[in-house]
Amino acid sequence: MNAGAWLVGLLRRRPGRLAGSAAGVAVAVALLASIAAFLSGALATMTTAATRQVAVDWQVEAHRGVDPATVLAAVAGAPHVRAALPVDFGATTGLQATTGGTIQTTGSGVAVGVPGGYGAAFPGELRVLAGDAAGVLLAQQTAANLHAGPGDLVSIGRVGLETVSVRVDGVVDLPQADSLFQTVGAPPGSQASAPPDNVILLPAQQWHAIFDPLAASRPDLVQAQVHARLDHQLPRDPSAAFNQVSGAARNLEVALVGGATVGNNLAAALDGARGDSLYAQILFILLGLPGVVLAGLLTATVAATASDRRRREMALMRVRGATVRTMVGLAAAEAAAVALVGGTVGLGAAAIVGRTSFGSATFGASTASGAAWALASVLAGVAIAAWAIVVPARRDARYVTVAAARQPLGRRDRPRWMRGLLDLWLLGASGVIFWLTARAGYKIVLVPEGLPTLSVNYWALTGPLLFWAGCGLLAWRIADALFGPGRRLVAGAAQPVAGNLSGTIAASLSRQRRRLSRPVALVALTVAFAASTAVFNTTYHHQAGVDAVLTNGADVTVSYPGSVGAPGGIATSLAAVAGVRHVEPMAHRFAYVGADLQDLFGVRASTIVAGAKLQDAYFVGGSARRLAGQLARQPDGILVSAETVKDFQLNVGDQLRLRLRDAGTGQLTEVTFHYLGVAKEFPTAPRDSFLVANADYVAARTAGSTSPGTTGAAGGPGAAGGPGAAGVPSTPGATPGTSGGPGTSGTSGDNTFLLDTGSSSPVSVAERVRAQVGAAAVVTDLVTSRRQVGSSLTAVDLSGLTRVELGFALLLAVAATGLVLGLGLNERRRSFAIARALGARPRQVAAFVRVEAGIITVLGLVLGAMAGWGLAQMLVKILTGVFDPAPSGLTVPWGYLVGMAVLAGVAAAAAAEVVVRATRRPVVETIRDL
Amino acid sequence: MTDDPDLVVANDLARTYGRGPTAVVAVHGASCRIRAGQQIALVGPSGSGKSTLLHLLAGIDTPTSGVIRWPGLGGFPARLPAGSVGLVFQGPSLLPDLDIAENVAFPLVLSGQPGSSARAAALATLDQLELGDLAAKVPGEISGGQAQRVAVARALVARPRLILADEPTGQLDHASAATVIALLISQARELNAGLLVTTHDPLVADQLETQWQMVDGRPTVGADAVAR
Repeated sequence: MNAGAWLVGLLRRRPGRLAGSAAGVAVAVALLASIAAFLSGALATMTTAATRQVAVDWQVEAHRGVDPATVLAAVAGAPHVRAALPVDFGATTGLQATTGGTIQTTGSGVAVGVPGGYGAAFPGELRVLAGDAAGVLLAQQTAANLHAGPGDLVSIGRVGLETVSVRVDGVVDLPQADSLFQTVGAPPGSQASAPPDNVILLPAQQWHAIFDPLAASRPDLVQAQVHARLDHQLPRDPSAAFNQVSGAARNLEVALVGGATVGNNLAAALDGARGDSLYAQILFILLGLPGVVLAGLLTATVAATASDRRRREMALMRVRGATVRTMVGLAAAEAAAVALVGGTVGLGAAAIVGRTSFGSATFGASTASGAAWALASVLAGVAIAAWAIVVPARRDARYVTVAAARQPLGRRDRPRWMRGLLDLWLLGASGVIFWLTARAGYKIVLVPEGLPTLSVNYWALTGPLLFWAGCGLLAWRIADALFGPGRRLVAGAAQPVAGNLSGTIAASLSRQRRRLSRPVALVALTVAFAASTAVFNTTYHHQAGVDAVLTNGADVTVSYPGSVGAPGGIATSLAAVAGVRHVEPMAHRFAYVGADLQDLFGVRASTIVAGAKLQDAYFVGGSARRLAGQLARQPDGILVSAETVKDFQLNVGDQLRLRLRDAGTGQLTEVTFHYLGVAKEFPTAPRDSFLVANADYVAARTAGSTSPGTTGAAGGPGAAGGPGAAGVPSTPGATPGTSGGPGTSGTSGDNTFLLDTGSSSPVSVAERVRAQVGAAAVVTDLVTSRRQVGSSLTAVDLSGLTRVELGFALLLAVAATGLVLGLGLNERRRSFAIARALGARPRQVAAFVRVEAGIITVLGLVLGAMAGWGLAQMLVKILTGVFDPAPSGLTVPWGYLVGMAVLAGVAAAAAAEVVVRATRRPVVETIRDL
Repeated sequence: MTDDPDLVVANDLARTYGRGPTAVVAVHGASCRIRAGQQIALVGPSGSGKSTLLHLLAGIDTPTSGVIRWPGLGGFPARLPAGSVGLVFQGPSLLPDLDIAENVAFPLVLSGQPGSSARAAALATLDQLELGDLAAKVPGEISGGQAQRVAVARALVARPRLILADEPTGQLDHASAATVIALLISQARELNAGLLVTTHDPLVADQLETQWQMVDGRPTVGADAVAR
């Protein structure tokens, strides 16, 4: 028989079998290709996000003695460079301004010489807050320290030279100050912890006029750089983009023969993105691959539902002289047709899904990888079709005799894996791998020392995959045990539906347990996949939100420099801004813990938990509410970081003496606290170490002899020893007594205000607040901060992937229950027809169907939910690196999970009812047809 | 159930499969009556409509036209009490996922008996038919002849008043066939049940009191139609 005639015959006589198998292959191909589309979109997004956040791609620093003009020419002529401008840095001994009859002086600082057009060439570097965009510009914090603005005169101190006065044209914010003032060429770990507080920007010509004399006498205090903007037409894959940009920088350094060092800000940003891109690929492996495996299992199960009939067909062909080779060839033709149809439909579906969910209809980061992914997806479909159709056909053709097609039921040996306890071995191996991964600190993406490449610890990924497979087999074993030795339980469960038939039904199920345990395992695997994916994704989204809130502090945060303090009544006026629902004031100061300078947050214990939306996960040793309650009861209580507890061997109740700047004297004064607990995270706080105490207590202990209302001066970075020009904590930069203008905020020295905007847009509210507070304060909003400071992974919109994964998971769950159950029951219509012929009423036959469907579905859902919970725990732990901050628990999407269970139940019920209806066909007709 | 000696009465039955030019008329103008204690062989070549008529008399198929009643079984016009008709099929008909005892007990359970008493009755029937050794086996583990004897046991367990057997020996060797037919006859006699056996084997037919011949889709006795 030729393959064409065979396929035509199948299409005519067995369209359901072909369609079911092709649908299974289509689901697998679509899922695989859809996730490839996500990866494609995600990688491109990561590269774009990483490059977008860089204001200056290269800061090329000329070595001493090298002519900056040579460096400028070399940079401007380098490939991919679109703009190159010279920038000079000079150290000042301090800045001084006379405003409102008082003299304000800062500590040491930096004067930056920028050429005309710098702001246009590097728009992300400067943000004008007041006055002009060109001319002499003061950094926002410096302007606040000096109480200076456009039109004011500022004196610039120079080592060994006279001060020079310049007139301020504008006030600017330096959003990328960290990289602007980096030590070019220094290893990442040795970079200054913070940029200088006192910065003035001068036109290049003016800078040279002022600092060339200094360069002559103290060349160590000036530095020449060339800032460059590169062509951002980079490869979509962050790793490839990183390699290209790094290679170009090295090429430039070689061309300059060691005359300059490239501060490669673009490569640094892409370096972070390539690590995140590996995490994206890991997400694909852990969240996508099981779905493909499930689709394959479903296809095989669909194909296997008619295996008895297929065996009979094969037996008939053998009787008529067909060889094994002929029969395998026909099966291969069937598999090829299934793979072709399924692959085409799957790729089409994936393209639509990619276009609608990820904005990309291609399947890879580049044309080549797109073609590779599409091919890989189709090959996976071919493999599934071959596994589901050709392999069983070959086995039957070679080993099954015609007589053996009538297999006895119920006395088959337990599967070999069950006898060998494979499920328990898998779970044990998973546990060991998980333990080893935990011991290694959940490091999945590895950065080998001294190597430019990153690698993935794929070994650790096998933990959850083995757990998943082990749970599936364990579900099979449990179902087998329940249907077998536990048949009394099944009979009890069936009693309400089946009455006196329950024992007979339990006996029937007991003898079919080898066949029935498989769908239970399939349903459990599907539910575990769907549940763990849903929990993981929800937890990820939740933590991304937490991260943004922690970074920005609130929907909108208003920060006044500590040396200035907030004007009186500002909290009230902020609360009156349209869209503001609540204002939570805090006093941000600095305190010495031993020799270590740490951020100190003075809070109102009674309102801070709700006002700042504090979570329990931020604290150790008690819930947020409990620790806030303790703070309220104990005015001198203080929460410290885990690092401080470790460094100083603190126990709860221990006394802690800190040195804070006294508002009246400007001198450091000792204040006593008592240690209450550990704070791991706090809104706007740095990650390493900080302190949280009662604002009123801190203010009272540092109020000194000044009149009330001037405490805002006490602890600003400039006043309490914030980083100086060199980025190292230094002696206080502000001269005592120069700070604290009239009308500062209040007795608690509030200078940071966390604004809850409710349902209003944080961006819009921030705009309104900016209009109100002017340049005196920094106003940040949640949306912008999230875009600026989030990792490139959090920049990737996972909602598309979530929709696709959850959609496929739902589809698989419904198919696993409805399709498999329906097809399995359908194959037993003859038994049901005989039962009817023996006098069974329709409701009695229906009881057989409903009990079987109900038990398989409920058992699969329960076991799957348990496995899904465990798997989600494992995934969240192993992928800790994806989360920022790490979650303290799982965020469970109850709506989705309940919806999935209901849909699976409905699918199972619908399948059962279809079969029940089929059993109502005339008995004789059914027996004759089958 | 009543004491009416007419267990089943059929008038002018017809059964046509399909429609149009491809329609197959299996039974046409069939009228017959089976009384308690009557033992009938319905003979005829393959395709003559024997099985169709038996299915109609068993109530598991619906006539295209004509009227059928079961006055002696209390089932009128359609639904028969479970267990009132003992049915033996032509091919394998045991439920593969129940053991032999459960298969035999099945009609009793369907009629509402508790499982334990149904099983006891099934075991008794199996013992009576010398099949007790097979009680714990499943259908796949016994031979075709044993399976057919179990099917007879299942047909008899509810002590039916009408026993209908469709080619019960069609797939059996002579010895097994003889055993099965002997069983049916003796049990029907013991229960005073009406017995109709379809067969194309004259040796089987000769063992029964009456022979009906299927001619032109209707049962006849010699050259005459079966009396109404």
